[in-house]
Amino acid sequence: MVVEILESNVGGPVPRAQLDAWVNTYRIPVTAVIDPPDESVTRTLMTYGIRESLFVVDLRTMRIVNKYNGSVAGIGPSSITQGVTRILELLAGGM
Amino acid sequence: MRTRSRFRSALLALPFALAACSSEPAPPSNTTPDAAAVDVLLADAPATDAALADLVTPVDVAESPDVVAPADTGPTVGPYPAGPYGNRAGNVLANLSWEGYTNLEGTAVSTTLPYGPTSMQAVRETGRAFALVHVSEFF
Repeated sequence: MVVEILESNVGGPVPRAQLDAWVNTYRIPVTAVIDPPDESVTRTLMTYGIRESLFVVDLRTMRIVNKYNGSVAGIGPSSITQGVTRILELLAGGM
Repeated sequence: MRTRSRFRSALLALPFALAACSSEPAPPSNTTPDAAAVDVLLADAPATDAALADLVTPVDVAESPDVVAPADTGPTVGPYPAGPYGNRAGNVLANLSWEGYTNLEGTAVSTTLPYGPTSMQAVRETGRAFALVHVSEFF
């Protein structure tokens, strides 16, 4: 289960049109969401933190098993690249 | 599943039953020793029906309340875990609500799917073991 959250637009809320453009541009085939439009704050950004971060979450406990941070400058390995080995290990049944 | 299996067995047996019926014609009813006894029973059938009718209380189905099956509420995962919440490894991730495209199969671009509300609790209710939650920004 993969959830992509577009959590801010230059520090502000993200309109649906921007979510659509993002999904269509990169042809994203996973769950893709934004904060509800009636919220004038970037609640996900304030709660989960800045890009570009990946949380591996155990859905039974909602505990963060691992967290990976990529570079906000787009330099170096992405969070997904850093976490892929661990992700595959978990999916294979390892802890 | 068991019902389907029985139904399938019945279907498989049906051709043999039909073949048996068609290949051997039934003997005339007056040629067997039991035929007379059957005729006596059939002659008494109206009386038997009347006796059974006394035992049955008629029910007006139009006035009977409909039996409603329990709503399909999906897997039961219980309430969202209590806090404190955080965003570091080992913390419990907070339950946030969002809107957008829920794409569980990963076989289509998400904008081709319905747009609507969702939440981290809804992610839990998918029944999956783990979630990869990735945050991005336009800047």
